[in-house]
Amino acid sequence: MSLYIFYISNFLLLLCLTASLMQSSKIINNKIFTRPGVMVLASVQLISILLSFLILIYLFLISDFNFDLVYFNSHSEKPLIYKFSGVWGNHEGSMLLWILILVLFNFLFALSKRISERFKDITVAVQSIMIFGFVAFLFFLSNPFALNQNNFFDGIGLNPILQDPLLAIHPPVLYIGYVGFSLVFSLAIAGLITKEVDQQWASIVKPWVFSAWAFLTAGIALGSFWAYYELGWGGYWFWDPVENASLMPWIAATALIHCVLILQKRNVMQSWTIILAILTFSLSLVGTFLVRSGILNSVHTFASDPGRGLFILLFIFFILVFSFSLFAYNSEKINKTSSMGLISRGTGIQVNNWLLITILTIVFLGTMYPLATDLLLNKSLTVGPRYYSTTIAPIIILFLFFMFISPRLGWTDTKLYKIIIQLRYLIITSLTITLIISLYFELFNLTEILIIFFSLLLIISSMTASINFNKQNILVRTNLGQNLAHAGFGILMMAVVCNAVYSEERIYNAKVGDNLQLQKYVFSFDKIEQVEKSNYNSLKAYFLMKKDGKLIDTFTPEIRFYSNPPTITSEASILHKFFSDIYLVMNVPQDQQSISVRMHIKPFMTILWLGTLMIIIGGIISASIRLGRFDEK
Amino acid sequence: MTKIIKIFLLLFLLQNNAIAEDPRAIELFKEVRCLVCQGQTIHESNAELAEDLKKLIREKISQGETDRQIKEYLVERYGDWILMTPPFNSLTYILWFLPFLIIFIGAIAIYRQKRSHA
Repeated sequence: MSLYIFYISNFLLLLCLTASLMQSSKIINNKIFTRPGVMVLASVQLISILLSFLILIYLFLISDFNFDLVYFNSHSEKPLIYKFSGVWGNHEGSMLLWILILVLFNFLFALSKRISERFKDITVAVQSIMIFGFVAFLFFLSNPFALNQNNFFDGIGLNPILQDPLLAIHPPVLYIGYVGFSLVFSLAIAGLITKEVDQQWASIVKPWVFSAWAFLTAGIALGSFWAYYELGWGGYWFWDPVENASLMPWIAATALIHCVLILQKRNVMQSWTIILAILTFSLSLVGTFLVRSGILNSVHTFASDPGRGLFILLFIFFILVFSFSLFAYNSEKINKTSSMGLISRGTGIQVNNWLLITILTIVFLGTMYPLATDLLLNKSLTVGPRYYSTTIAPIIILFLFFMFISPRLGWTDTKLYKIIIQLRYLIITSLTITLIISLYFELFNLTEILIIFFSLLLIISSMTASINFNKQNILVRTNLGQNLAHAGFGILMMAVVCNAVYSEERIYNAKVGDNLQLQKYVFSFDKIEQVEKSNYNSLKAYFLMKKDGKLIDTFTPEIRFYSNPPTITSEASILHKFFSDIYLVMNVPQDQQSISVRMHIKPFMTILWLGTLMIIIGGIISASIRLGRFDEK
Repeated sequence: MTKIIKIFLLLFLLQNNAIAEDPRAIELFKEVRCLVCQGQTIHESNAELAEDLKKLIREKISQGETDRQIKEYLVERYGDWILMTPPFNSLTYILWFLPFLIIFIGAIAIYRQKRSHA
């Protein structure tokens, strides 16, 4: 049985390879493969990969340990959902998922109407070259359907830290984001080849780039939320190389979506848009694969086979060389002369584009610099959170200012003082609130005060802009997505700063019966008991949270002992309130004979996630509204 | 595995009086890298070596040493690598200055482009 599955699935991969090769040949205007058409081939690509992905899911669900991948990453006693998510909790399976999304985007784009045939052919061809490359990589270097000769009775199991419902959906969401930019990249290359990077091009690209961006944002947010409650350190962002690797394409993509907007409205900045499209996709590749290669060590590293890492590096190198030489050759032809005033919306967006590039450089430097000094000078360095916060914070102040002012400026030269007079009430309100906040919390750090002030300006300004009160009935404007996302960003920044300033932490070594103090709350260590589950045993502690002697809530942090593979994890117990989270976690220090209890008060966490959610919804709204608009043409 | 858990259970019940960690020590733990972990601070780690470092820092604090003295001691013993924030020296000038250089270049470029069109 297993042998049949082995042949069928490998045949499906080869089928996709063939179809992609035929599809790729459409990049040159040839007559060899005019039949079968784009749509037929795209369907073959999709169906073959979809079937092999379903087969892999089936193999995990029935726990067929004749397959290496299932043996190494699954266990018969695992709950069903983790057998399922175990499919992409490893290198080969996640590659197959990546390819599935790649062919899905290819197929969806092939479906779209009212696009010139030549342009569509080239886009699909470029996309198919990538599909070909990755399927070849999967087939030859990381085949998920490799059989083993031994009759293993049971599998090794999935890393327990990955056994989490949120982590089951984190990779697919993140991948839709990353892979979405592959289509944007293909569209950019097609634009370069046909030399048509204009307003029409921008309106084709817009829905794709916005939805990819929204998914990437959601993917990063899910990862961050998971780290917050699962890792048990009370933080949500650690500036870990892997987090940085996902943040870099996000920053580039954020710059890109704004450029696509200007391009559509004003037909300017063609070259810069193309550069950003190429950059975003290259960084997405780095984000997925450099992480997997083992150069950056972390939970995310599945494979540290040098052959695989080399392939990815060569592939990224090939893409960069190919696209930038094409760009160098054709960029003169796509550029139109632009004229925008010095003080205009365009300038504001340009400035923020540059600030984003600066932040991108900081993240890149922070991630790569220690690697470089280690390799070249043999000197080790650690670049921790403080480097990022000190360098990025002043840039964020400028960034928030331009985010606030740019949408208020016209496309042509505007008088700045007129805008400021127009917005006087808004500025006074924000100033007052900032003053109250800083006096109330005794906050006297200028950077923090400024971030709070400009965030407030941005939030109020964006919220009032999307609703028009002057009319008889309240009118929601079409740039609702933009305003929602911008307000969300302001809320996020304010929450980040307040959280950093007002977080409080206590660590106790405690035993049953102790009373632990955290601000105005008292936690009584009530009892500790043993719990047995199918895939782990755990120590569960009960803490009663009291305020002025009154019971408010019970906290149950756990220490879990997984057996397949043997691992110990800490499960935090969190009480989410609107203004602050209370977070309890316990650890077993290896040389101490006591339980170490950590208690955090994390203000503004709910608001922080709310801001992130607004950004994601804003992105989705922008993606769908633009889609409708393009169809009207 | 169950045996280990039972032993732990027993130990916790035997322990006495809750001891709170010194907030100053916590701040220092967050600045010191765990030597055997992957980019974690000793604050976030339960590794044996991290616990040893924590003990060392607690002792130094009780001996009345300043944060700066403790950090200098750690750097002397383990190198710059041990601190989460890179120091400011010839090795890290690029790291600290490049971002500001980039902003500066961008500001000039955008201003000049606008001027030439205006």
